[in-house]
Parts: sequence; structure tokens; C-alpha cells
Amino acid sequence: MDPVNESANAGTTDAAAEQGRAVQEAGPERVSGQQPVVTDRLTKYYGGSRVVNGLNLTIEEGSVYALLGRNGAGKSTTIKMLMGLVHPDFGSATVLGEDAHNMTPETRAQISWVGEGHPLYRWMTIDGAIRFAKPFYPVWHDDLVEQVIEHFKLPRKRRLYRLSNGQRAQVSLALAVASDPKLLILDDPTIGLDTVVRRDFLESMIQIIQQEGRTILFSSHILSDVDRVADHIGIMLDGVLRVDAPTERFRDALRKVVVELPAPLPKPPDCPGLTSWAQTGNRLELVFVDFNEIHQSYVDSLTPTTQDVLELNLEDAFVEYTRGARGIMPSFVREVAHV
Amino acid sequence: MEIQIDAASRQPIYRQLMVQVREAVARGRLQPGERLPSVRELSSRLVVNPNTVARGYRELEQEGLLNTRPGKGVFIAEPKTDLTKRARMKRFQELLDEFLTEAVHLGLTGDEVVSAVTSRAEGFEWTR
Amino acid sequence: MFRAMLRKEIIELAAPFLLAFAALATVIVEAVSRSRRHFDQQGAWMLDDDFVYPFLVISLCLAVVMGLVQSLSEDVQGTWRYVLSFPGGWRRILKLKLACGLAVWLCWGGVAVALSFLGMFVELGPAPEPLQKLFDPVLRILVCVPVVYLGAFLTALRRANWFFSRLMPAVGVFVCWFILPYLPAWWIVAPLATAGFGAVLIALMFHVASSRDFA
Repeated sequence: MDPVNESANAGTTDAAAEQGRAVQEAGPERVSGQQPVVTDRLTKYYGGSRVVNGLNLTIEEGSVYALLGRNGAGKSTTIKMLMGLVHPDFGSATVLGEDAHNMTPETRAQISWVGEGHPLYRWMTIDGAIRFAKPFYPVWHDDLVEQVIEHFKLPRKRRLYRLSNGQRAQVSLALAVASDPKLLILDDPTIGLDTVVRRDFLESMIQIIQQEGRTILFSSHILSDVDRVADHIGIMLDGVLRVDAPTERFRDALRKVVVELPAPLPKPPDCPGLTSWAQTGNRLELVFVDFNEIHQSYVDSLTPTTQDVLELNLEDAFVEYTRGARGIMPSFVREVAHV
Repeated sequence: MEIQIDAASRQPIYRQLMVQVREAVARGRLQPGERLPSVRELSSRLVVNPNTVARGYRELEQEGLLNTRPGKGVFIAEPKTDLTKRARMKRFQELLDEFLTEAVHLGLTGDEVVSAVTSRAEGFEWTR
Repeated sequence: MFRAMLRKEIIELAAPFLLAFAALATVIVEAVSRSRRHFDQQGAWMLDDDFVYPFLVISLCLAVVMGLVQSLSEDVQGTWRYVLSFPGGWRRILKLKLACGLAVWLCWGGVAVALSFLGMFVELGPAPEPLQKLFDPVLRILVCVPVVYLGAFLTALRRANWFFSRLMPAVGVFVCWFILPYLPAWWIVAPLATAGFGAVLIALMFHVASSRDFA
């Protein structure tokens, strides 16, 4: 069964193109002009390769949007373009209604950004960092910063380079929220933080989410955190958005079918919606997008001795989706030596 | 009662929440009229998006297990009796058939099943 | 905003500034301790070697370091992406940095004048004749050297394409060392030339900042 290949992108499999279309969710009414973030065919080259390749991303107001993807998929570059730090080579990024590179001060005042590694002037103390940032913003809530400092018992007079990564992360977040932003952009904010500190950071994020009216865009590798916090996810693969759907919808869309076959197959036949497969001996794992009767009959046609249809958690779903076909797995078994 | 979630589980978080509330009610740990934590409280406690908690509560409300009193909070509802006994028994028998099928596949005997049911049933609160 | 930026820029420029101050103080102490009459009756430094040239060299070094530090410190600390996320973006930040550079430069002028005055006071006692002659070399250098500061700033800002902007500080040095101070009506020509060159450099800086990728 040959899948129809309408994908214009070189280097992606037919199945990937199929599933990309499959997991685009219509979502709630998209009223243009109200979305805080809209990109149109956003493209960026580094060297010869297209790190971001015609990206069309739209984020709805009030949503908590997680931008996911493997390293090098283009997430960080996209966020940098949204902040106006990097110039697109083609296409546009529109944030709060304005071109990302030429935002007015009033517009930028409504956006807060926390970057990878929480860049701050490390020779400043916490108090110094507050005193530095505050005059730039028309609105500043000292009490919000106070709450975070007191809750996490952060030492105000200590210089930032003497704080732990986790403490600096909390300071970054507190500074970001103090200006009461409409749009909060977090570029991999928990990278390098240990489990406990990550939980602290998430708790702060939840507090922020509970105050309605804010839109949050964040990128992360910790998918269990994403599952807790995000209501919408976007998965970037090779510079394009391959998945753009509510978190639940994406999880629901993938099913793993594990079958035992009477004899191993060299390669399972193609099937639209089959996104990846892996075989170990007689055991074949198939991952389908939007598992339906056609897929069921496909599985049955392989005459399996047993079959199981499994749901996936977000991390497994992400892995199966982005990993691609693994083919026949090495069995990691030492050959028995004959004496 | 303490609700716990496993963010890495295959089961979506809102469904875990629903399962735990249903079980707590069935076991008598939550009584009708008892107040559950607000969406905000629970979302802070579990460190999950408030929409997830809201969805769990919403679906439980649709099932008739909860009701929301505006301004007051979320409460366990009185047990519903809108389905006739016959309808409820029919529904139960469907579930029973699934359960018994599984038991057969697991290689249990009829007696083992009966005694297991009897002993587990003691942990639940039954309608008089 | 300006105060906050100034506080930060001053702290980041503190080391070079203090070094320059120490160097200048040393020069003046050296000059005064040589026990010759350095001042003529009108109070002008008679021996250029002892003061003017060292002062020029120190000022040039300070100007170059200031320009480099104001740009490179953000690169080194990785804070461009942080500070450019503030309202006003790169335009405001660049304007503030330049304003801070000017403020620090004026401080330097004040320091140089104060130290010279002190040296002269030690040498000649209180209040000799026209102070203008005393401050003449200091003033010339202060007015001409900012071109070098701007050139260095531009050089550090425009890192991808070194060739053209590398010439900037060199041109600045050439102009201010060899030409401007010795022009007959320097007090008119020099400020104009500095302003002219300066404007070109600042325009280039804005152009570079608008087209550069900061992360």
C-alpha cells in the first residue's frame, strides 16, 4: 500500500508528512489579530542548512504552549527570532501584533523572556538585578518578586554568581513576572536544573498560569513536566512544525501495537499512518497515528500470534514520533562460544 | 484524602484524578457533601495546569459524581438513582463479563475468583 | 533607566578607569618630582614629554578599552539576549551605552584637569595666571579622542566583518594625534571634526546593531 506523498519537504519520510497533517488540530476559533505569536514561513539558515524552514506557528492567547523537538530542531533559533535577537532570512515573526525585530517599547514591556542558562549580570546581587531592571518597565510589582524571594529564601545581598543554578533560575523567573507581562517566553528554562529545583520552578510556573490572561511559550526536553503544565504542544522536526495540537490530542493520536509474529519480517509493508516500527526477533512494535480499523486490519494481515494495543505517555509518544523507523534492532546478546 | 498523580503514566492526568476520586467515593473515604480542594488548590498541590484539574472535575460533574456550587466550591454529590435497578444491573453485568473473561485468561478457578471478590469487597462501602 | 544603566556601565568600566587614573597620577607625580620648572610663568606645561604625550597615550588606551568593554562585556557575559529583551530594545540600549560612555569620558576629563591642577599647585603654589594655557592640551585631547572610543565600540560591535571597522580606531588615532590638535583654529575645527566623524561612526553603529544577530 503506497502512501500518497504530497510532502514538498525533502528529507522527510512519507509517513512523517502524513502524520504531520494528521496531527494538526483545528482547535478553537482562530481570530486573526488576537494571537500573541504568529509566524509566517519563518526561515533561518546557518551555514548551508535551514535551521528553521518555513515555520508557521500560531499561539492562541491564554494558552500554555510547549515547543518541543530534538536538539537542533530549531526551537531556540525560533524563540530568538521571536525576541528580535536574530534576523530571519525569510518570512516574518509577529509578536503582540508587531514585527518581532521592531517592537515598540510599550509592546516589549508586555513581554518577558527567560533564556537558556538564565542570563543575568552575575556580578550583581539580587537586589542589584532588581534595581537594574525595574526602571526599564512602566509596570513593576515589587510584591511579586518579594514573594518569590521569601518563599525560596533567596539571599538578596548575595551576588548572583554565588547562587546555585536553581536559585538563579528562580530570580530570572521572578524578574520576568514582576513586569506583569502578557506574554512570557521561556527558552528551555529548566535545563541543567536538578529534579527538586525543577519542581520548584514548575510550582512557580503553575502560580503564574493560575493568574489568567497570560500566554506562555516555553521549550523543554522534560516531557513529564510538559505534560503537567502545557495545554498545547508543537513539535519541531527539521525546522518545521510537524505537530501542533492540544497535548491530549497528540497523546491520543498515537498508539503502539506490539505483536508477536510467527516469523520475523525483513520490513513491515508501508501503511499510511504507520510512523515507526522496530523489530526484535519475532516481536514487532508498530506505532500508528490515529489508529483505526484500516490499521487494525493491516495488523491482522501480518498474522500475529499475539497483539496488544497500548496508549503512550507524552514522553514515549514524543520519542516514537520523532525517532523515526528504527528497523531491526541489534539484539545485544553475546554469541555463545563453542568449546 | 490525598490525590497523587504520575506525570509519566500512560493514563492522562485528568483521568488519574477521576479514577482516584471515584475510588475514594466507592470506598467511603469521600462522603456525599464533602468538599474537594478547589481547582487552584489542587493544581498548586499537584503542580499541574489548572485546566487539567478543571477538566477532571468537569467530567466527574457530567458523570454526576460532583457538583459545583458557585462561590462555594466543589462537592461530592449525593448518589444518583436516576437509572433503574435493571439498567444498573445490566451495566454491571457488562463489566462483570469483561472481568470474568480476564480472570479465565489469567488461569484462575471459579472458586478463587469468588473468594477474592468476597475478601476485596470488605474494603468498600456498600449501599444498604 | 539612565541611572540604572550608568551604575552598571560604571562598575563594568571601573577597572580600566582606575588603571588609567593610576597611570595618570603616576605620570604627574613623576613629572613634578623631576624638580625642573615645568611650568612657565603663565602656568603652561613646558615639557610635553613629561605630560602631554603620556596623557594622550593613556587617554587613547582608555578610550579603546571603554569602547571594547561596553560591547564585549555583553558578549562575554552572554547578556545581550537578556538586556535586549528590555523595552526599547537595541536602540535604547545602544543610546544608553553611548550616553554612559560620554559621562565616563567627561569624568575622565574632570579627573585629568583635577590632577593637573594639583600638580601645578604643588609646583607653583596657588593661582598662577591664565588657567586656559594649563588646560589647553588636556582639552584638545579630550575633544579629539572620543572618535577613537566610537571606533573601538564599532569594531567590537561589528564582529563578523572585521576588516573595515578595524580601521576605525586607527583612523581615529591618526586624526587626533597627528592632525587635529595642531590645527591653527583647533578649538573650532576639532570639535566639528570630532562631531562629524563621531556622527558617521554612531550611524554605522546603529546600522550594525540593527542588522546583527545578537544570539
